[in-house]
Amino acid sequence: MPVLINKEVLEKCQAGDREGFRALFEAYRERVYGIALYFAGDTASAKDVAQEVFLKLFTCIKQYRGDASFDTWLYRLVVNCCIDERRKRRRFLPLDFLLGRTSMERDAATEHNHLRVEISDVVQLAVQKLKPKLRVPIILRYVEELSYEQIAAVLGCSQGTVASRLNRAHRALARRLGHLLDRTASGRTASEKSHVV
Amino acid sequence: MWSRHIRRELSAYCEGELQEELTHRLRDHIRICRRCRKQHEEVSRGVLLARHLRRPLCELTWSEIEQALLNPRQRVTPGRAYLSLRSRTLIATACLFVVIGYSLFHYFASGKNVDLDRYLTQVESSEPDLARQQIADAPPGFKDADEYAALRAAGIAAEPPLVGYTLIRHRIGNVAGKEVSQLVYRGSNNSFAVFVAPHAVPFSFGKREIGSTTLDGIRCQHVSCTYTSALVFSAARFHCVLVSKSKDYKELAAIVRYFLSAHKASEGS
Repeated sequence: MPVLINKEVLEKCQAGDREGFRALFEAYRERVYGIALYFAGDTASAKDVAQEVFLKLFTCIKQYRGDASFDTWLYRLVVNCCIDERRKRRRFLPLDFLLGRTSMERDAATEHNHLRVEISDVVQLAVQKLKPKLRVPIILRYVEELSYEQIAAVLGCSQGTVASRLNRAHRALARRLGHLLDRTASGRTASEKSHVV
Repeated sequence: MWSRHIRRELSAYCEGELQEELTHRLRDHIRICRRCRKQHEEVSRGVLLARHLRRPLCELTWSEIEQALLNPRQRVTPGRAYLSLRSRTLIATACLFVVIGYSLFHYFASGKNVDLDRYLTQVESSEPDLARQQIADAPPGFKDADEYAALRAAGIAAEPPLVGYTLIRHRIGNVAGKEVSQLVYRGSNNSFAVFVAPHAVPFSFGKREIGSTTLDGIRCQHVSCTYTSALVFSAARFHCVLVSKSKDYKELAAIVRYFLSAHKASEGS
């Protein structure tokens, strides 16, 4: 896990310095927003969640004592915040839901209609449909590129548990989207053949 | 056990997160175990798919955060239309009230009196052979009860039995929290039923006309029925309905007199 900010910036933030906050925000905004988007499902909600995370971070950064790495501490905060927000939002029924689809699904469907759908978009949608327990390790592993050990530290569980959850998540993805790989493989074979010919 | 252990470690194996020794052991096992090999293929496909994930471009800017810092309650993003928990609760509560109101309406509309309309219709329409059976049938809400309990609810427990008749059915119905008795008697030629209720519980006969009459010197009311005699009479703190296929007024008067004397005796005791 690359260290994005130094001790000085952290100390500035803990002292309530606005420039320190800005540096912290610029260093982590993509990571925080990325996780939030995978959790919330649409950009508007993701922005809300990410904003909530940063506000929380700025108010409770004094509590960071340096026992764990700052990144681990931040990821834990982000994950907890996302889960809390999801819990809060579960009490609300988005009107999109009444129409049967989320905005991302509509976007994907539109793209599909234009035959421009990319495999990463479809995988992203499938990941969003996983249970949070399986979704978090997948996001931390493949979006944030953390090791099993780091994921275990963020989630506060054993590496065995992380391995088990990732295993279940991989199998769920394969069951839902395995056909895409077959299509990609056959497409590739066809194009290779055309090159040969 | 070993097989289960392998399956749990398959993701780590596919991603090269395992120690070398364990990797070799897993590789050997996958070669010989068909089930684990199949799962390994599935997990490998999942890993390949997951590797397509990418970090999205961030749309959040520092100015938005700064604005939120100044006014923590203000959301920078446009609000989405939500059907709030409160709205859903209100809708659910309204539905619940409608259901409860409907149930209460039915309870009070139909449960406050003894409705004998359908019972009389059945007795009226029955063939002479089936009349006895129809008279012995129970109106809705009446259940078989102990003989003494039914007689006591009718206020005639202390009276000796009616001569020439046998009490064959004794039921109690609960109407508006009060007990109403149905006593069915069978004689050699005739059967009749008497419904006994406190004055607080009225009888209902649908749209049938009710008129006053004098039966062998006893003042009572008759309910208009073509083939059936339905007489309403008051006895002490009860009022009763006598239903019979008989049109013999002397016989009917004897039955009414029995109940009047029974209630009088009961009042006296």
